[in-house]
Amino acid sequence: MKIASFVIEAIDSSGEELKKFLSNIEGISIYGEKDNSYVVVFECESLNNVESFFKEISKNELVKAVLPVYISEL
Amino acid sequence: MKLTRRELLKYSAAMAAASAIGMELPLPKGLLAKETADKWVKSVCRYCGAGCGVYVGVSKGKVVAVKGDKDNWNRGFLCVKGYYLPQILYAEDRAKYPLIKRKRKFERISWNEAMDIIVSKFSESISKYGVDSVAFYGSGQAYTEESYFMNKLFKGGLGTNNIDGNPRLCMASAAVGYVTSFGKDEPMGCYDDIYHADCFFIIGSNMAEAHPVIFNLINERKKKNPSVKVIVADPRKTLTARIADLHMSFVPGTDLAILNAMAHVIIKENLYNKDFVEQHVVFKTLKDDKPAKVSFEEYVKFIEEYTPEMAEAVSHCPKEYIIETARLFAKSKATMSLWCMGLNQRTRGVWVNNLVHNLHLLTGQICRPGATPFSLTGQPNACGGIRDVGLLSHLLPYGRLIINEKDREEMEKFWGVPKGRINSKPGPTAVDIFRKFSKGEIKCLWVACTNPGQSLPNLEVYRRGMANEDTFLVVSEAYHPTRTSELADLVLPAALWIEKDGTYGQSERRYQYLEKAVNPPFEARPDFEVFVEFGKKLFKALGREDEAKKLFNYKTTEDIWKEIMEASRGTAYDFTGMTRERLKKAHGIQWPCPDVSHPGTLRRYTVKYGDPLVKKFDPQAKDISFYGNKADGNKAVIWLRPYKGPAEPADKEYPFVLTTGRQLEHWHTGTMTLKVTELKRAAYKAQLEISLKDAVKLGIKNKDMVKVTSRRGSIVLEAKVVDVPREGVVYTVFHYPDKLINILTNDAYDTLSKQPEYKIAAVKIEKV
Repeated sequence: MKIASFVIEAIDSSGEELKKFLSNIEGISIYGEKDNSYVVVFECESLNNVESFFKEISKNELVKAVLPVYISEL
Repeated sequence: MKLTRRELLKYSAAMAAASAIGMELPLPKGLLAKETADKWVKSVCRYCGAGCGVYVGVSKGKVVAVKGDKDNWNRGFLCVKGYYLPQILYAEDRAKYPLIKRKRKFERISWNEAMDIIVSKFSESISKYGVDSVAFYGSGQAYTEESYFMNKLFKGGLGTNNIDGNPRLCMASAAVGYVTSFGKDEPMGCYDDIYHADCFFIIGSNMAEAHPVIFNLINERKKKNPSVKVIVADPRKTLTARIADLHMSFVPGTDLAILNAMAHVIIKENLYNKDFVEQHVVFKTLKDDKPAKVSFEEYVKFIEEYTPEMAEAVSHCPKEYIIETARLFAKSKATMSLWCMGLNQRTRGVWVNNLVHNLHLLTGQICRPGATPFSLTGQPNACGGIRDVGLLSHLLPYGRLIINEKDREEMEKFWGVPKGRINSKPGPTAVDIFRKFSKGEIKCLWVACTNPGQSLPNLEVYRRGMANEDTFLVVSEAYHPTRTSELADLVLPAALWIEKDGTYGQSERRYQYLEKAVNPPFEARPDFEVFVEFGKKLFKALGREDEAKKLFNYKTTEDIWKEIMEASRGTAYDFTGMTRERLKKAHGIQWPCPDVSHPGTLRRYTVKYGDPLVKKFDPQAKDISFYGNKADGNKAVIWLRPYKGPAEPADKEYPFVLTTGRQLEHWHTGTMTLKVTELKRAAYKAQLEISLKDAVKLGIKNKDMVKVTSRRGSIVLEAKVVDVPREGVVYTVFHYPDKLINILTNDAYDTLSKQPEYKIAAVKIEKV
């Protein structure tokens, strides 16, 4: 099991929408928000899942930027 | 309520992300008893050399919580280890009473009896075999006052240089690197540079796990400024490498070729800073093993062979990466290099440090905000307490050298000891102290605040030596048993962290005072108090009681701090303005700080950015002056350092390179962090990381048990098949006392720094 954290910054004024979107993804926990950036922890099976999530979320139209910060193994 | 391992890891992950955007995350229930603290005492984290400011929450004489100091450089952020600091004080295995080993069993004795035995053993040895028959092995975790005292006792009092410290194992190459390139030790830059750098070149450091709070400043910088580039050079795809714009993976030990190739590209593409080089740099090489000046043209000729193609062939790092990194390094508005043990723990550690400095000097990426070479430090007081104090066998306080007659005379006069008292020959360094102890050439050894029975390379040899019944080993420790105290003849219980007071000096020349917050448990005592008592009693036994009264007339750590400040006066370290009173109020002060009204110095060697000593040492300087290097006209040195491989490369018999390091949850030999329930739950065993390709070749599956064998011994570990190490490289951590990884590591050391090559050992792997 992998545990990874990201800072995900929303496009201006789409913060709430992004939060809703993220909340519906399995394995995602949102720990907080500051200046339109969300602290997100992602639990998943493998590193490939982490990388796929990173790639997908980076392409999302609600997302301005994604910063992967931490990864560990349970 | 205790956190589960999963919750802890999730919280750690979230905390790292939150700190990257400067956000304070609420602490989960069960992490702290924050609300129960009656008072908060300003202090510093006990662990790494980052030196995070903390507040310690105390209730009813007990530490109940720790929180980050928002007014210190870390802005209130701590890593997960820091939050759990209270538990290290209340571990069941705290050393409680003095113990003597009789018939291979430890027995409790009184402090008086213990001190009498130590004094008797040391004085008899000195009388019979001379002063070089005794030795002290200190620590980058001891307080400055403790280390300064023992340095004075041994070098100034006894006249032996048989005194060294564990920073020899972690920071010596960085120290000698700074001295050989700039004339004086310690970084010229600071953490504030992170807020200004546009390019980070991280080499030989897994900051994300070993220095997470500093790393999160880089994360934050990148988050706010997406154009900022992070380049990580590391044989492993570490957590640090995973956020990099460019990860340069290479065969361990080949980075000298890569760094020279970067210089090659910088020169070929005319990216070097001609004005800076002309004004501030000289070039040197070794001729007949002696430094000799050469011209810029000779340097260019030397660097000619280090083409990116040549470096790729040696290192297996793609040449495109080398070229791209060289360009980013040179063209960035401000480039900051950061490194740690990956460069230092090498037989060419000093050279590879010099090569990083070379890049900064060639490009002028130095002595301005964001542009600096910055060595990270492993222990909380390796800089202030060992390198600066001079508790290494070749040093005297504050940049003075044993081999320099003027420096010896200066300290003899300062300490009030006869001329000629200080031995002119540098003493044995860490590995050699234990080598001599194993051979019985050193009869009595005192080890304080460190765990060489787990941390020395080629460990088995030295463990046998420490267990030798013909010699006498004293161990001052906060815990017992450790893998060192179990070998001792006599164990002294030591006060830990805020159970005593003293000063720490961390990576960016920041000195911080740690106030005593609680009493030590049982009969544990502060090392400073014990050392002073020992000094007085030893000199009495040697018939030098009157001298002792003059030399060791200290009642408190403040008494000795005043002397320490004076010892820095007039040196390039001058911190005579850092009174105890100021340090108590301040959230750290950075030296130079030559008077009580001076705020401290962020950046050295530059008038423009506020170094108060430039004009003192180099009155003609307009701005930058490397005044530590007066012999070269206050210029820094670009060294011609050829590529040389490791002492023990992989070969047919031992086809893998073993490299070791740390993980986020634990620190060094685990004596503290493995006492923290939550940290132990999060990470509790050493595993051998092996790449999928190698694992398939050897028929090894995840969690299989494998035997790792070097030329020095074998260890059985659980395999962890991951994409982290490159093919041909295996990795493990050295935290766990049940797996003495250093049995495998190599004690060959750098000829200049005497720092051993922990990072590269040839091993073979077998499934068991």
